[in-house]
Amino acid sequence: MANETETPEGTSIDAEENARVASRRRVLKLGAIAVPAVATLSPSMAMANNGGGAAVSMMACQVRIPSRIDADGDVVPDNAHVFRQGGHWVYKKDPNSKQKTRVFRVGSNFSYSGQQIKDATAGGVINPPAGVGRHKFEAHVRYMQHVRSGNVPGAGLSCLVSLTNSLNVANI
Amino acid sequence: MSGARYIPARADLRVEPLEDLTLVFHRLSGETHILSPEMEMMFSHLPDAGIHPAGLLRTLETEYGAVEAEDGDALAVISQRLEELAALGLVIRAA
Amino acid sequence: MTMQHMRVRIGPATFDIRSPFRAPVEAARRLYAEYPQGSDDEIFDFAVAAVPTVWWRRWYRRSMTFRADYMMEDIVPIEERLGLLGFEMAVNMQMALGYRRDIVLHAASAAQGDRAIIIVGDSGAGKSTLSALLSYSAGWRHLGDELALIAMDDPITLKPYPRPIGLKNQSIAVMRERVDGSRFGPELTGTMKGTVRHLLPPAGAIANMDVPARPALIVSPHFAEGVAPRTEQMSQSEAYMRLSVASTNQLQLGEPGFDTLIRLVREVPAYDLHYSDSEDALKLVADLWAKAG
Repeated sequence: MANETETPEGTSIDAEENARVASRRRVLKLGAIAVPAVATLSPSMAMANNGGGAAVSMMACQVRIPSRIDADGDVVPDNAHVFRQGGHWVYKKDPNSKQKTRVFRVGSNFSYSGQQIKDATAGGVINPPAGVGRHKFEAHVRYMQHVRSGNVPGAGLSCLVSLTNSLNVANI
Repeated sequence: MSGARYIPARADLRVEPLEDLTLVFHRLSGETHILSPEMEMMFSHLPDAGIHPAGLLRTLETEYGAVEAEDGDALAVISQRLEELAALGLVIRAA
Repeated sequence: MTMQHMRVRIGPATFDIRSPFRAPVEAARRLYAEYPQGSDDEIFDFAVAAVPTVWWRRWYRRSMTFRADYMMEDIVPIEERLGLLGFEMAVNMQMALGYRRDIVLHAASAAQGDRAIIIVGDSGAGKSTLSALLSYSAGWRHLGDELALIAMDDPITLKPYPRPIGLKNQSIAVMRERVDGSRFGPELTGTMKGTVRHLLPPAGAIANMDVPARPALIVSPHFAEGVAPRTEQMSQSEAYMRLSVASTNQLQLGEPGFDTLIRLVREVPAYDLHYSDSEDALKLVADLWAKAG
């Protein structure tokens, strides 16, 4: 635009030429090969679960797990004294008893996807997702069973409702 | 020379650019594809008669001056992207 | 066995509700008393039946399971006392999975005059509560709390589907403070979603359920404790993806479904709403509505 005051007559041609040169000088940067460049919304994917988009979003839903769950699947109260014993985190669930209950800890934003839960509990058998130990996952399944049956207010209820059968796991 | 020629399947597609990304409806599969800006730019530069990856690279170089890829080889990225489009049915791969 | 049954029309769809259990059918009759009741010789769109889980469950520890054309495989059997909830879920399921004339969005909606707001979001995000507040506290016409029907016409219109509003847990008290008890259904405790209570939309919403409105604003509520109220505009492609995923049938509707959603996100602005308080939510909506003018 500085050109405009100096040489009013030539302005439009100059500006056009400048723009052309600028665009030629531009370097087109392509992304890495591994980065996906297309996302697809597919009707077959939606139909796969007899549930239209609803099924997809349910499978893509998240069930958040509180950071401290005990072996019974109960949420460990914030004020509970959790300590290490024999290589495990434990606490006294009943302060008047000597019995200690194992505690399983996860990071503050830990969650399972609907699909992970479905896969991990297929056929009524527990097969924990990668990176989650069997005992920890069993405690988490118990927690989800409590949430589902309405005993505990919890996140991801609609997700759990859609996964009802998956959580009817034997032998835990 | 550089292998396959890629022909855009424009008759099967409905392309709708939104403010930020471009959506493509594929009539044969009923699928909706959301193209990244880079993918959209490659797709929109495919001539109706089709082109080889090397030809597309030249087209883009003429338009932009220089084409670089994050991991080094622009031709490899272009070939890969065209293959992705072919797998989705958005372009047809002719021998 | 004698079947109890009733017919009810909600927006464009007529349902036939039937069961050998008397109580849930009667509960449905009471809940839907203000809705048009179809007659037996009319054609209905969807039938929903509640049958005993196993035959003897009709008499002993009564529990029922639901039969209809469109069901998810993993809906659990329901105790007799929660039969009304089961009917509501099954009726929704028929619309969500079986209805094909319009795009079905998992969303609430409300109108002022002939212009409408669409409220999309996951279950529990606050859709039902926000739509109940809009219609009972801010003078909006209730169009629906769970499913929004988007007609694939030009211009795009929203068809009302004003079924009873399914309030859950804390929202029940929030609305009970503002609305007379006679508009509420029975309190259903211990359900999979906690306590559920149905709230009838204002009578005007039911009376006007054949009057469409034109979408003018899309919002996605995010209720969270302690957050400052704020709004963020979505890009068009983000709005497209959210709506497509929030729809139960849009991907099955082919090019008309694609075309309608593209036009919708081009014409209608979409925002995320963050709030921790229902008054803040109403204020955010009022501000955006004024802007959408």
